[in-house]
Amino acid sequence: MNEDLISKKELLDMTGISYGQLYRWKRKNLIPEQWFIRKSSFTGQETFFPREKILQRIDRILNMKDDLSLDALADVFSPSPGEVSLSVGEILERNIVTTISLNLYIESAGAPAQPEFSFEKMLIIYVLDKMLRSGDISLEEGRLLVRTLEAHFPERTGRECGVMLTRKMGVVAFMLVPGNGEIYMDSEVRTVVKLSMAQCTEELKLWMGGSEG
Amino acid sequence: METACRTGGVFGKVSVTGDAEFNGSIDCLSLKSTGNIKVDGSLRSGILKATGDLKIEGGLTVTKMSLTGEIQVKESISGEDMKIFGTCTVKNGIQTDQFKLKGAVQSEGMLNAEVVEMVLIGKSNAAEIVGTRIDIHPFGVQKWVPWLRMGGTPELEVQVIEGDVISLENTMADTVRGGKVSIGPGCRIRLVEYSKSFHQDRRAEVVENVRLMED
Repeated sequence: MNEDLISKKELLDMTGISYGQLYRWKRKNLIPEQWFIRKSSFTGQETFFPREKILQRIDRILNMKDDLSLDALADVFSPSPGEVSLSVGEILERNIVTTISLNLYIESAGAPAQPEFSFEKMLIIYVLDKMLRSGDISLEEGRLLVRTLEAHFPERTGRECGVMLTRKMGVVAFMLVPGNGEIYMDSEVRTVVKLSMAQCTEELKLWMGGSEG
Repeated sequence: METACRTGGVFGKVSVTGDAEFNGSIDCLSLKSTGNIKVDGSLRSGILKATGDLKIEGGLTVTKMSLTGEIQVKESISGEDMKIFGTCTVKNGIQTDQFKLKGAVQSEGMLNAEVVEMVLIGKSNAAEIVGTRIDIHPFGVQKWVPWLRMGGTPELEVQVIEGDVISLENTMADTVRGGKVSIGPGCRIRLVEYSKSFHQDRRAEVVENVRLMED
């Protein structure tokens, strides 16, 4: 686990940002509290971060901060759902997900009560679409994914949650990992896909905001 | 005098003269008070202007706050502009853009602010103080007016201070990390790590100072 962490000193050195900036972003919720990992070392207490996540996040903040205000950025990075809802037509028109995924979703979860999909529902379709497109799952497994997410996300798992697809001897299982923690399984279990819901939320928001579209 | 008691809720402008107790959280545009207020829940307000004691069982969220007296918060404080003349006791951390205090602060969490200006009266402590500019010094008049020393020598005890520009007096800290660091009289610090400049008063005690190389 150690090689995945970066110390604060190293981080500031690598990215060229100052303490002030780092803590300003933390205050504005651009960097989640959970990423600040405190450990005691021989030089006293040190703070570490998950290396990949923080470097990617800082890179994105630095790239986007000229175009968006810090509050708007915080909105993009926040794992809470956006306020928008879109109709079937709009979703397809804006190329957010493919028709196949949308149909599969409607087929397995039933057509929504309102004519529009809430952000919550779109997030599930988005995750489904992502996995289908990458070729990691079959349509049948897609149905299972939709049922799993519909049943447990986000009420029971929280929004910072990981989705995993594992196979063992040809048997599939979806797992939702609250807090996006690590889990360890026997060596015959193969992890096929692992996605972070928080990251998907972020991507979907950017898609819908149009800045990546 | 009896204490006015009412349930919390959503309000426009709240003004209190005398004592008041709220059984529940308050969400309002502004709260102005003279006297003692107790909130059995959280307080969220645009503007908070108070003289007297303020006891909040939950968290405090406020855009602009100016307080003379004592404030106790069970959870955390977050805001933008805070001025406190008196003491501030908070269980968790404080997050704000501006934090200006004349008096004492007691926090078991992190004080995170763009600008921290503290004029110490009596004893203060915090787990961590972080921000862009951090300025801590004792209240000057104490030298001339002895009765103001009732709370003992003004001092701040903190584990870690991190900021871009740091200027300290009467501060006991384990580690201070920053760009420009100036350690004034009355400080006792184990380790200073700096990247741009370091200055130490001869009446200060710093066990070790390290310059971090910038590429």
